Amino acid sequence: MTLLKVEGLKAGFETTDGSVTVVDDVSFDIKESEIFALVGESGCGKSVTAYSILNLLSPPGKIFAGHIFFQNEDLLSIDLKRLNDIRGRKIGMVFQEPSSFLNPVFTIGEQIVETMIFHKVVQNISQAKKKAISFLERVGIPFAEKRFYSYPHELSGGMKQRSMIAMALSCNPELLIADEPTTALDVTVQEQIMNLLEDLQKELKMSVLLITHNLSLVAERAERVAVMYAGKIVEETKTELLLEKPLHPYTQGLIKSVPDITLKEKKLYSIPGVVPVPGKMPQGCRFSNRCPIASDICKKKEPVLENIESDRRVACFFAGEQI
Amino acid sequence: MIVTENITKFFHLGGFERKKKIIRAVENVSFNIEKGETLGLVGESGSGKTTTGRILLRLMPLTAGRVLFDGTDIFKLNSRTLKLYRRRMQIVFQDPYSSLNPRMTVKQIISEGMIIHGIGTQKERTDKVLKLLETVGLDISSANKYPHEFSGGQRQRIAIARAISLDPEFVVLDEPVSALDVSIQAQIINLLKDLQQKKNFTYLFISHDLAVVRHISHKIIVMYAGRVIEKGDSDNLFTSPLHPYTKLLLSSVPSLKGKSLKVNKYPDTESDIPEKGCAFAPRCPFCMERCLKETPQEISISPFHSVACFIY
Repeated sequence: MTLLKVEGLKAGFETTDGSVTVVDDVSFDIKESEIFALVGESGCGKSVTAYSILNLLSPPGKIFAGHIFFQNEDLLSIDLKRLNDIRGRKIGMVFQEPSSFLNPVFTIGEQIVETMIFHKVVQNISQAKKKAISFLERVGIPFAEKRFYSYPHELSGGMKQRSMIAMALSCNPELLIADEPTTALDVTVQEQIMNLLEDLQKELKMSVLLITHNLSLVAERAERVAVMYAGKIVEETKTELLLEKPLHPYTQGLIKSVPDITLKEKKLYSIPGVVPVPGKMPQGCRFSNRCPIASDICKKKEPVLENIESDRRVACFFAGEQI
Repeated sequence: MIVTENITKFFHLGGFERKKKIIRAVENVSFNIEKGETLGLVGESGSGKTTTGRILLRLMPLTAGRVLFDGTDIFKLNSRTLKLYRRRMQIVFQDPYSSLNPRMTVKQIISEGMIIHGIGTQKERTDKVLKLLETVGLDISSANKYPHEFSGGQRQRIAIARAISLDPEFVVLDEPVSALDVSIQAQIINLLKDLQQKKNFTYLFISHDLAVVRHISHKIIVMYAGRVIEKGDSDNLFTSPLHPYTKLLLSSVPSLKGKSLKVNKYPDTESDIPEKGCAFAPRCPFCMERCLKETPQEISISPFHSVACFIY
């Protein structure tokens, strides 16, 4: 069953020099209780996609076109009141930098309780408090009862991220959007947080949209993965398939350039050139100026994301050719 | 080339209402770096790795210990002689967005060091800037542009060009690729390696990313809570890590091959650093009574490998 369906999403920024499209015609869907990952480098539009799903893009950000169906309701056309019922309640969100998304003048506990009261998932404050403490315990915060009264600045980065997760989960969402949840954290903590998210996903049977730049984080965690480049999805398939046999030259390059800790190589593989800037995209395929197998057609015509096999979509004229 | 002896750095926090507190950022850290070699310094945030890097360049005062550069204690130098040494050691910072002055052109940024040290005529300096830009893989037309016109990876190249403009012998690389995307990361690492081969630079490479460290370092030091807990040459350390923390660190690195490396014995919580005993004790699955009372000292396991843990 499809839980979330993003269709032809086009979003970007309105600037004084005209509008710039950052996310261009992105479509994907997330099934019930699966982890779906959106992977890409900075500036590829993955965060804008996440913010668009919850209609959280604030000016100058703007959604130009597209539909976002959550349980058959188009989130982009319903009124604010209904949208507020869904955001935070049915769709929870965890952001990259917990310190800038937690309110510094309220305790962790107050912020979790506020969410539950707002969405009326509890009858009264004492019940909310009890529930908040149990969630804090569930996400692995020691002395949860004491931590309930802690302010964000009293907690470490990992603890803050755990609190954010507790908050996002406090209303039993059906979809959790995690935007680079561990990028600001140390590796050992990253591992803990990722394991926690994975356990909670299984336990609560929710779906997770995991947004990350780190391809290795996705391995064995996400069922399906979509790779974004310069505002477009270039490849989408099951995670094992993608890692085993990437078809798009960009995906191949990305996988090759991840340094392998178990080996020592003389020279690391790197993709030549730099990511194009929104508004100054190359003609034809957006990867053509960095692609080692690009030919004339790539510079003239833009490839579309097509089904190659069932469950596998690629946007490349030479899909499958090795770089 | 560089020898540090028991370097220690405490920060004193204090104020009106707050109790005076001492932060032990770096404690008794000793190591040496041979000429033409890369020493990797690994640790989590707050482990004291950046502080160590800065002390090596005398960018901050020292609480105790000595830093010898080519046999000279750089903390004993007066400002004039220090300037001569400064020329021989340089640094590349983590964030290429804040380490380049936005009001200066690339040419001004790269030639500033040469002007300060009175090297060459203006013409010679301009030639050198162009040559450096070529060396780090940037177009020579970049010279008259401003930092904001470049991407993160390109900015880091500018920062590298600035660092090597004085032909230093020793360069501290403080998380030079952490702010960059993977595909760009590899470009910068390869550039740094090439430069080292050509010019015989000595590097201190500070990073929290173990995979990256492995690819560039000859020797590695692992720090935890301001202390060195393990050091050894790169291959030894990665193939047979000794300290429980190093093991945890290595197993936490996500790999494209999935989670096969993972060990699950470690308690899944975070805790404060204890005041006495081994700093890692609260997170250590092998913690013994002794670990809570005494701080373990470094012991050599082989000529190239030492560890600070009571297990050994």
